[in-house]
Amino acid sequence: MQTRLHLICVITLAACLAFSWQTQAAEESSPAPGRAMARQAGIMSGDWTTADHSEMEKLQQTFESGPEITEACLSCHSKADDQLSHTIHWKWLSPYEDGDLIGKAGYSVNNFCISTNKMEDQKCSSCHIGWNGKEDGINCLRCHGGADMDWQAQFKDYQFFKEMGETELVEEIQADIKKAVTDITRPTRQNCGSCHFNGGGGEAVKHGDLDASLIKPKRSLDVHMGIDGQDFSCTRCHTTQEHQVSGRVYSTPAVSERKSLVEDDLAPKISCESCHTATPHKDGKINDHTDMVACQSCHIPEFARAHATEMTWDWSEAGKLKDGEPYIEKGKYDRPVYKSIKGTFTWEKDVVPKYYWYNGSVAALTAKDVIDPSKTVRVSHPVGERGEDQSRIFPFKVHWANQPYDKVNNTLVTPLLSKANDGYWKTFDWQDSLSRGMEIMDLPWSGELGFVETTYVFPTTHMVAPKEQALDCRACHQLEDGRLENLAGFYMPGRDHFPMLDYGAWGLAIAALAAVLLHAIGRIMASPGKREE
Amino acid sequence: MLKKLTCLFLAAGFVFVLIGTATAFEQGNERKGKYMFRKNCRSCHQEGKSAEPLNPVSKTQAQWERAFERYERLECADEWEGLSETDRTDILTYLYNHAYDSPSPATCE
Repeated sequence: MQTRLHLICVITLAACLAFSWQTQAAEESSPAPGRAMARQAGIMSGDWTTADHSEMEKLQQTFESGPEITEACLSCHSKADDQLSHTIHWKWLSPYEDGDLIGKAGYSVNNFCISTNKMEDQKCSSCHIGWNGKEDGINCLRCHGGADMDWQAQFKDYQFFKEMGETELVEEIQADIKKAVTDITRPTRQNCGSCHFNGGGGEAVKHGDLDASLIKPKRSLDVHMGIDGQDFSCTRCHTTQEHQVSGRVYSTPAVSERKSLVEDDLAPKISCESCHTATPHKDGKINDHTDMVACQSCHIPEFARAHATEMTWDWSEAGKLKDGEPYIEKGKYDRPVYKSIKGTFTWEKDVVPKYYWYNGSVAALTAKDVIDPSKTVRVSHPVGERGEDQSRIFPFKVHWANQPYDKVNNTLVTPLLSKANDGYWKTFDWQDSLSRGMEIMDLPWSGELGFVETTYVFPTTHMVAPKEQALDCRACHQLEDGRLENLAGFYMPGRDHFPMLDYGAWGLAIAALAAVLLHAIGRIMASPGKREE
Repeated sequence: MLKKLTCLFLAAGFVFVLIGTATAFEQGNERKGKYMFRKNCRSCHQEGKSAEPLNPVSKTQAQWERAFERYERLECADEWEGLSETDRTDILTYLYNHAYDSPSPATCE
C-alpha cells in the first residue's frame, strides 16, 4: 500500500517537473506577441531602388550652382518641389495651424537658442534645407544626398578657382560635385542627423534622445537602430507621404489614432503600437498598463546613455571676456560649461526622465504671450490628463534656463545672435541685439532687460533599450522615491496607501490568526478526551 | 653716406627679423589651403564625425607649425602622406594666417 503511494507521488512530481520545464522552454522559444508582430512587420527589405542616378543623362552636366542641381532633379521628380514647399521642413511653420504663429519661422520661442528671428538669423538658417539658408530654393541633397558636402563652400571655391584660371582644381571640384549629385539615397541617419542631432546649437544640446551616438549605435543604446541589431534608419519609422514626414510631436500629436499595421497597413508607422500592437507582452498584467503608461516610460529607462546632453543654460552669465576676448571653458564630458557668447551650461549623462500625462501635444509659448516672471515660466509643457482617451504617462527631458525677457511688457524676447548678422555673438551688446531682433519680429521692446527662469520639455522616444533593461515594476510601484512620485490623483498599488485601511486590515488579519490559534488550541485541548472515549 | 648705409642695413635687418618672427615657413596659397583643408581634414575633423573638430582658431600659430612639422606621429598620417608638399604648405598657410593668435582669426561660432 505504502509503496504504491510513493510511486504515485514520484510519478506526479515527475509529470509536474516535465510540464513546467516544457512551458519554460516554450516561453523561451516563442517571443512576446508584440515582438513577433514587429518582426513580421519589419522584415529586412534589402534594396528597393529601381534607378541608378549615375546613369541619368540629366546629371551628366557641369553644375555651377545649387539651383541648377535642383532643376535637374525636378526634370524627373516633377511634383517634389510643390510637395516639399508645404512641409514644415521647408516652411519652418507648423503645417497644422493657420497663420505664421507656431514654428521656427513664426513667433515660437524656446529656452536654449531662443529664436531664429523669423529665419533672419543666418547661423540658425544653416540647418534649413535650401541651398543658402532660406534663399536659392530647395537643396534636395540635404536629405537625399549620400555624399557629405558643404555645398556653399564647394560652389564658392568652384567660382573662385574658375576665375583664377586654376583649371586642374576646377576640374577636381566639378568631379566631386558630379559624384555627389549622382550619389542619391533615401534619407540616411547622416542626412537627418546633420540637423536633428545638432539642434539647439550643437551636438546633443537640444534632445536627450537624439544625438550623434545614433549614427552608429549599439543595440544596447537603441534596440531598433543598433548596427549590431535591427539597424533601422530613421525613415523605417518616420514614414513619408508626399514629402510630409510623420512623427512631429509638438503642437499636434504624431498620430491621431493608435493603430497597428494589422488594423491599417498604410497608417504612419510612427507609434510603438504600429508594429508591436497595444498588447505586446506575454504577461497580461503588463498589457493592462498600455492604456495608461506609454511604452517609452518603461523601455527608455534613462536618456543620454551614450553622449551627455545639455540640461541647463543660463544666458544671464553670457558676455564675460578674458583680456577683452570671448572664451570657452570646458568641464565634465569635455563639454563647454561656459561660453562668452552663450553663458553657462550643465551637462548630464544617463538622465532619469520626468514623467507627465501626455496626449501627444505640447503647449508652447510664443514671443507674443505675456508671462508671469515671478514664477518659473513653462515655455513648453505636455498637454494631457488622466482619463483622457489618448493620454499616457510619458517620459520627458526637462531643460531649465535663465533667459532674457522684457521687464515692462513681460514677454520673452528674441535677440539677434549670429556674427554674420552683427548680433550678440559679435557685439556682446544685449540692447542692440534685442532691439534689432525684436524689430525683425515686429514686436515691442521696452529696453528693460531681465532674466527669467524657464523650463522646456522634450518627449523622450528614441534610444529604446533592449527588453532586459526595461524598468522593473518596483521602479514605480514603491512607497518612496518611485519614478511616478509627482503624479497625483489616482491610486497606484505599492506607492499609495491609506493608514486607517492598513491598520484595519492588519487588525483583521491578526484577529483571524488569533481565532485560528484559539480554535486549534481548543481542538488540541479537547481531543485527548475524545480519544479516550 | 655711411649714415645712410647704416640706416639701410638697420632697416633691412629689421625687416628680416620681422619676416623671421612672422613666419618660420614659406607662405603658400592661402585660398587653395582653405579648400584643401575643407576637403581633406574637415571631412573627419568636425562635430559629430570621427575626429576632434578642428578650425584655424583651434590652435595657435606655433601649435599649427609644430603639428605640420611632426604630422608623421598623427593617427591620420597616411592621409597626410597622400597630399603633396605644396598642398601641405597651402593648408598650413591658411591655418597659420587665421590661427587663434593671428591678426585675423577665423570667425567660427
